Amino acid sequence: MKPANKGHATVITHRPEIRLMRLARRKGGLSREEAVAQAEQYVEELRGISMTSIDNLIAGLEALCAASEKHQFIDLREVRRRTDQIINLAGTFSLQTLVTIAKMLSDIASAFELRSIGEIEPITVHVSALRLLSPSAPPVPSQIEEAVLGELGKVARHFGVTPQVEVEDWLVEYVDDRQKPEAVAGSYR
Amino acid sequence: MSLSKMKLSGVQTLVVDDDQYSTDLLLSMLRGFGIDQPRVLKTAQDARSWLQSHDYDLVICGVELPDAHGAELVEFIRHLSPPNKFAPIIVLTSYSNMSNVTRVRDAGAHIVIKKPVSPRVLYDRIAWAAKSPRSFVETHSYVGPDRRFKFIGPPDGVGRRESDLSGDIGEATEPNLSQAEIDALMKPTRVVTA
Repeated sequence: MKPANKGHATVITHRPEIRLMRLARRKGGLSREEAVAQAEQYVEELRGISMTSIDNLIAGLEALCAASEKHQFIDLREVRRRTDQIINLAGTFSLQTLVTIAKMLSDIASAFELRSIGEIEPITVHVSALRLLSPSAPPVPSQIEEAVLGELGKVARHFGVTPQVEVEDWLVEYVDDRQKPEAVAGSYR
Repeated sequence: MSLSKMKLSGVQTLVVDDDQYSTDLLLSMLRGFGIDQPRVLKTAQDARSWLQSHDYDLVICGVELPDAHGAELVEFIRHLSPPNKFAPIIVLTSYSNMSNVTRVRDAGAHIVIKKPVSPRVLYDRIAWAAKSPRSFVETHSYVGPDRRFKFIGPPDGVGRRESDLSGDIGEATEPNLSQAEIDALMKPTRVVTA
């Protein structure tokens, strides 16, 4: 252990034994390619159930919207939670347009939450777009997809909502505790 | 250390996340890597209780748990006894929670991964945690893996550790190193995915 003190609080640095390091070094095991290929295969086996789950999540959002029209209130936190789940599932199986719409909805919901905006229609129109492009819906020509994205973009601009700045996943590595993480410019694509 | 192969069977893994969809995908990936029977818990409270009496080699948790922020769980783990205290912790963050990443880092997480997680990214991050020795730092305000990774010197150029060099380094007595020589000395540790 190495205490270091430069006139500030004591900092102790040491290199403890990490059991994962020892276990990973054992003989046998899988190469990166083998492990990743096997994992991809197991994930692929979940495609069917994941598509059903996306449909169910969209149905849940539709139910939230329907209920909110009665009560003039929508649980935006719940909208974000379900939208995150759609982004995760759709992203895993490369349903890019669905991911884009879900991100737009997430950004709208976050902005409304932050600014205490109670409008329901902008949420509903995004949920309708998700339904239009849901896994169980008939295929939609790419021109229609582009048109839908264009219209949703207008909604976002109307409310001054911009795409969230996405940070890349990183290996916690920033030298300055007060320094903001690096980020790539916000974009839905 | 060369790790062309990794043996992850027998690695005690704890997954803490209440998102069933995410957990199902994650468990499939872990199974593909050879990690058998990870323990899955849904709340931070369940994890706190469980970790008091069980040892883990790897912890993967969501950033937004039903009863706590993921950062709170990470902080709790960093104040446990070894081996849990030193276990690599991977935090998964969703699209609407990315602004919380700094908080998770400062709680003592090793790695933050944005969902959706691909098998390749997850494997590379676990491999990085398994093969890159990393100092552990303990201060009054932070317990966790060393956050200094970029070779750009200490914060403020002043430093707070004994190992931080003084800014006064005197006159050069030899020719400067070329950039290639400097790069060779640095050997960046960041994982590069294919």
